[in-house]
Amino acid sequence: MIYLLLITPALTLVLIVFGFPIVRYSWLSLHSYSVLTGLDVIPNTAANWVRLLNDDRFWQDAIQTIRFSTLSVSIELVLAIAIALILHQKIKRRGLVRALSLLPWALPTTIMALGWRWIFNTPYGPLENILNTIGVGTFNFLGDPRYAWLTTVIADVWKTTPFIALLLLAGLQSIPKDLYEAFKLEGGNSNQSFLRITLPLLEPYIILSLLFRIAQAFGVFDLIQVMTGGGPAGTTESLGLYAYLNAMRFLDFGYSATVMLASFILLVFYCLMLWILLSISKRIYELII
Amino acid sequence: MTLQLINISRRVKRNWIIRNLNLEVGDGECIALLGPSGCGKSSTLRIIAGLDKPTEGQLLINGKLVNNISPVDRRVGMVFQSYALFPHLSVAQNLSLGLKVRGDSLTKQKEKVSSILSIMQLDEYSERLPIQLSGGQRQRVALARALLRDPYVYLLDEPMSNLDAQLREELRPELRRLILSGDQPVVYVTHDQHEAMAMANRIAVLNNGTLEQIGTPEELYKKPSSLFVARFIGRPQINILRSSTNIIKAIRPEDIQIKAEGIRCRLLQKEWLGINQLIYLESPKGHIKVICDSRKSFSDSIYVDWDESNEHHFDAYTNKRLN
Amino acid sequence: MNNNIIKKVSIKVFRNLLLIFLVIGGLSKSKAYTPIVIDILMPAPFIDSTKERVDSFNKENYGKIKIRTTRGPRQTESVSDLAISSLLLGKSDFDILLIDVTWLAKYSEAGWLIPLDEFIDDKEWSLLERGAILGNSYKNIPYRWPLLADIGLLYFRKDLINKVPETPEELLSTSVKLINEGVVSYGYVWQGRQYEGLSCFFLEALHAFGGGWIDSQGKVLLGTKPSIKAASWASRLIESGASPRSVTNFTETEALQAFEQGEAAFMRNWPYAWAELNKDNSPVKGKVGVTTMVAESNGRSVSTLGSWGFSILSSSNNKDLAYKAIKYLTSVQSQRHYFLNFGYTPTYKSLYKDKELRSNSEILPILQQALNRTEERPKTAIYAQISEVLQKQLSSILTKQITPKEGMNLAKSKTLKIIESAGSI
Repeated sequence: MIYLLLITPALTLVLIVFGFPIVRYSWLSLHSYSVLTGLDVIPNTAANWVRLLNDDRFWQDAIQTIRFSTLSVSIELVLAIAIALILHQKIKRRGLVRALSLLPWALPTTIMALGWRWIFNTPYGPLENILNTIGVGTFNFLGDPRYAWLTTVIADVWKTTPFIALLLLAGLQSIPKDLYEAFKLEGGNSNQSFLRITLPLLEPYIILSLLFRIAQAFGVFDLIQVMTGGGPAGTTESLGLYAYLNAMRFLDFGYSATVMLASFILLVFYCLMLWILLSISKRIYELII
Repeated sequence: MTLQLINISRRVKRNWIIRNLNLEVGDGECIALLGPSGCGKSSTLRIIAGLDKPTEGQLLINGKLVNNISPVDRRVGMVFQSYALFPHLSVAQNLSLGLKVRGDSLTKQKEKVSSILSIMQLDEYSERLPIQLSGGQRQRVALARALLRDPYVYLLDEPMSNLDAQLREELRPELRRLILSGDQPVVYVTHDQHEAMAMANRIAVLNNGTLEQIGTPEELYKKPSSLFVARFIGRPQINILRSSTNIIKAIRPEDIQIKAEGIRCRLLQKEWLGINQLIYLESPKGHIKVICDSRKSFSDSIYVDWDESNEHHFDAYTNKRLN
Repeated sequence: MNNNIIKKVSIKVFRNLLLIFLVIGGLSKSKAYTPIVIDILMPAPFIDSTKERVDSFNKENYGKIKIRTTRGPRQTESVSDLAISSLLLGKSDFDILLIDVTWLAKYSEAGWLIPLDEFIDDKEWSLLERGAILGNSYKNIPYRWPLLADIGLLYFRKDLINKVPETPEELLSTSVKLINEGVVSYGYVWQGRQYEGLSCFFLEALHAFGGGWIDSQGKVLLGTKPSIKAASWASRLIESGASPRSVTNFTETEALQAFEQGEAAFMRNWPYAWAELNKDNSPVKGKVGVTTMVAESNGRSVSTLGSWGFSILSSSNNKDLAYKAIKYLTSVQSQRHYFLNFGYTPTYKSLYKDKELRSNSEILPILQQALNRTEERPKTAIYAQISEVLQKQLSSILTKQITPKEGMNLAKSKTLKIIESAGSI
């Protein structure tokens, strides 16, 4: 019984921080609460949800959010593993290199997004200049629906890879050196030791960073807002941005809450799918190595 | 099967970890590397395994130079101090992993693993993860892995240091039966002289990366070649006698007799140890310890004497043995 | 001797200390007459331009009223976010907001602003230029008094062309010609990024082809022939090369940058660009002309109305004094100061006749002309949603995701859907 008492403070905090917004949003999503109701809260049963189901913009943004999250988190993970492995080596001034590698992460998103907007801008951005000079031609990165969302992925990867790398580095450092030596004496080469020791032992850290990053990427807002504003042709608009626009621009808080809650449900569903996919691929992995 | 270390040295930056080490371990022989921490005993083991490279010297296994042979091809069976079991694999998987990467077929792997599991009495634990085993069971898995390696040389790095005293004594016969009965040379690193004496045919005492003395436990006990060895081997520690010459004289507590007359001492303390007792005395030659029958009782003044032939003499400058 | 020096020094120290105490005493005494503070939230640039007038107001009303300005973010929409966050708390920290024309309907509908008709009569409104009167009322009730007018203008390089284009087609063909001749690398630059600027640009195009966005009866005019023509024209600007492909990511900043570098022959922008283009370090200084928007013969040359103005918040405790501050900061004298120092377009008729101003600026007549042809964006509380629908469809057309016809029809149906779910416009 005493343990219940002991976890009460922590549990209360969690409930306040996580429970309250979800309950509040659920409640709001069943009400009209906008500038058109004179900011009065009026019950409207499921009107917001019916509207959501028929809202093309919501679904386009949902697909974009999933596309953005999947691609950027995948790239980040692969890069982060590589960087963590490099930082794990005995390199000169390791502490300095590690601290420096965190810089992109420490930079405020809006500032770094402005930087990337400048880099990708046409015709005065440095990237266009380089591509023009070497004769590749003009790309119009931010103004072309084919590329614009990829530039936001690149910016996101640049910003968050170091953080994951550091998380994974902590994981790498928790693996005793003995294991590698024992495996070496048993005849394992470095590829095998990566596949059979490093990866399996890093798995909890990888899962942790995956969950952490996907949740974060699903809520991406400031990066998109600054870099593309959701354009061109609405191709880069995320659910987070849409929820923000509904609240702060359209003053439609009921629908904004609905969008937020729907994207939360989508996130849970996505994580569930990911979990199933990961379990299957883990089985396959164990079979083939 | 034999193992030879010829003039092995290892330097890291400006520090010599091991200096001119010569060691020969014969067929089926067990040599214990004994010394305080930092003396280079673990480094020696790592050099033999191929995990570290010697700066100078030659390493021979079965008469073949292996300096440039990869660790796996040296075929050593090593037991790590931490056991180095793979935490994400079950006992059976821990044992079969090496076989798998060395290319044994699946049926062969299963056969070998199940036979070693029954030898080690680990059958019922085969599906457990290392974290679900006791310390002694983990050690047995580590030993099993070394056995499965079918090595030319066994290297044991403080294999008992993570176990409690009682378990250690229980496991000694098992270790002797499994590893020491074969014809492979065994190098056994320990900082515990009792363990070294119990397990090894010969003991090599290392100090600051150099070999102080190598010999049977008896030789080391009876004729320590230096003051360092004399103090390191034998418990309670040898008595160093006060002397005005360039010769340091030392006498073991068990070689001192209590008599009716002789050197007059004052009793300081006593420790009752069951079969005998250890008494601390203040003598004209300094503080000395004496081991004697536990039934004896004393007054404050005690007379002791010893046979001078039992004295160990060392040079005061080089600390080398003189007699 | 030594004693003497010590004496002198200590007398000096004593005297200075006494002075300091007196000053502090005086200050704390003056605190007894605490002035009433009027808090104003403005975007950062306006803080700097109004500073001198704010200071002189505070001097004139010393001890009675004090204007305290709060520096908002640079970005227009971020200022709105800040204001809304404070308004949603119920009791705002501010008495006055400097608001953009597009926020007016939304803020009034939310009940955050007070009607100004009790302060301002028709006579006072009649002192303003026609275009400056627009954009201050919602449902025929005034909620805002203008600080400056803002209208879309067509900038051109007078050193490169003989005849100023008057129709959209002329603008297109002249641009193409100049590019083909190698005179400039871009012809016409404007605001093609998916954001509010694109709606401003397109409102002018709609009227140029005889159409409109939403008429005064609330009828949606998107999807009509003129709207498709306007969208096709915008799309052809890019196709024909008259405008660069990258215009699909241009805001005012990028357009101005290209034009100022001498790489473009024409630019759509706001009046602030004039001052920038005629700075001493500008490569095109003295080579720039300004005119009103192009239009087809059956269309209308209009300029989208920008403009900023002051509104009093319902939660203010000092509404009368707030109004006094507003009148001071927007007075003829103040606007004169803003025009001469910052190029802000005046709202008072009298200033357009002012000899000193006229001799000082060659664009004053053009500004007046454009102000009289100005057109408001739809005045509705759901403007932001409607505008975003248009922006997105236009961006899709400009980036060749859909045809102008499809885009305009989609814009129409989506706009109607929003109006329907809102109940009315």
